[in-house]
Amino acid sequence: MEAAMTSDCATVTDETLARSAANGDRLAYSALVERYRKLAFSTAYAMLGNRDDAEDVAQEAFVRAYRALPDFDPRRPWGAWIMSIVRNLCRDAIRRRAVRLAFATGHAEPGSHEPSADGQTPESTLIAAERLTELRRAVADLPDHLRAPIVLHYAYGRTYREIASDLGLPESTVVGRLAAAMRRLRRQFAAEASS
Amino acid sequence: MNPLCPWVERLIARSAARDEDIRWGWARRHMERCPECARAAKDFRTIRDGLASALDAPEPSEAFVANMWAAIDAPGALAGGHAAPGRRPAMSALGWAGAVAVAATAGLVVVHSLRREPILPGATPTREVRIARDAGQPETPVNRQAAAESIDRRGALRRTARDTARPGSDGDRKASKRDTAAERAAIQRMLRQRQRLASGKAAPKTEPAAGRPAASATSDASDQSAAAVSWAELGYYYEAQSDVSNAAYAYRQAWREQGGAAAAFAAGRTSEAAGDILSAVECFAELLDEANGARSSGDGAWIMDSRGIGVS
Repeated sequence: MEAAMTSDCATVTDETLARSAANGDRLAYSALVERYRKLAFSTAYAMLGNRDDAEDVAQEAFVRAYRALPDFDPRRPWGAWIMSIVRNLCRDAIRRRAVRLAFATGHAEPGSHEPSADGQTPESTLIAAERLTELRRAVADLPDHLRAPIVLHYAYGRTYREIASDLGLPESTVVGRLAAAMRRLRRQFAAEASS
Repeated sequence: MNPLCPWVERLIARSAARDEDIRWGWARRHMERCPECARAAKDFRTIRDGLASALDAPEPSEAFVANMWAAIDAPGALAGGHAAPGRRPAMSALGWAGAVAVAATAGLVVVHSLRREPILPGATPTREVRIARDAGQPETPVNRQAAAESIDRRGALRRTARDTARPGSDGDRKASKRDTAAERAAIQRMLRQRQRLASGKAAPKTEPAAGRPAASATSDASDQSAAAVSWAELGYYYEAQSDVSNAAYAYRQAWREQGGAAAAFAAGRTSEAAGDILSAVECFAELLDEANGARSSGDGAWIMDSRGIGVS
């Protein structure tokens, strides 16, 4: 029965599900959460740089959205609404300085993302791993507004248009921030190489 | 360094960000000639490939939905942060109570600040003085008396003023004396009415009949005493209303009728506050004379109470 309901929900629009959830239909809200939880989490992770904080913020966003469902205007897209809540909560978290950046602390399971070592000596593999660790650290040191599009694009494979929608920015701004982040990373690596 | 290099570096970075090769022919030709820009293009490609490998993409935990429902069902409050964007969260009962308390306090403050009506019935002397000024009349004690006469809205004072004050008929001094007597009588009536109201008795609807001389004489005797007190009380009232001009006038009347250091000091103090320096100096000089007399005779001591200073 529940599976049938879930499959039914797959063809229903977000706004219809939101209206149903506002009337107390928990299954409808679960379907909405299932649709947007990865997106909300990835956006929060890109903005905060910490998995635990991102999960907390995404979860809180869905809780707040559920409690505010009676006030939700069904003429507005629900996805944009929940993502704006996520962004606001992320900004609050950054402002509270409660974010613990974990990019540089080995959280990222580097072994699973190391380049193939075929045909390379162990020494060159070690150097490549060190450079990847440095790169992660450099990304973690980026300002929030530059790090978020980098993470969303290169980690989650989001397109510029999707990133613009996730972050509530124009697409040209996203491309400009990506380019600025690349230039900053290059300067940082050039400085480390010269030192 | 070629001056084009910074621009080409920006274009290379933008192209790398878009995961595409540089589109501009002049920039490509520059890169073929400039080893520095060629190295920049290589660096950006390396960074781009490294980012794709270095950055992980964690996913929310399996317990995400369950934890969310647990948080929804929990009675506890949320952590801080924004509510739904562009919408106010529903206000709690405590919030409503606080808002009502703030609104009530603000209302009381506004009402209190706007409340210029005196406690005594309908006294608006400053307005009367203003009307007299607007009518081109000089602001004389007579006008102040006329202002004070408007205290009683029920007509007693107006009747008295109509019957007495006729400027120019018998000279200002005589008119002023008549006004003073009429005003005093009106204030006596007002005070009697207040006393009756305070004691719970109904106010008389008519004045005492002319054919009852004994009662009238008794009433007049008590009126003299009440009138002497009423000037000081009136001055105290005006001073409490921050109307120092009329307070000074009332205190001066009380001082002239009763004398006394307290009345002189109050009259001088309020006259000074009203800007009537001559009257203030006159009052204080009298007070000093009285104090010097008391000290020279050695039978008095300075005292100060809520009504001013004096000699015991």
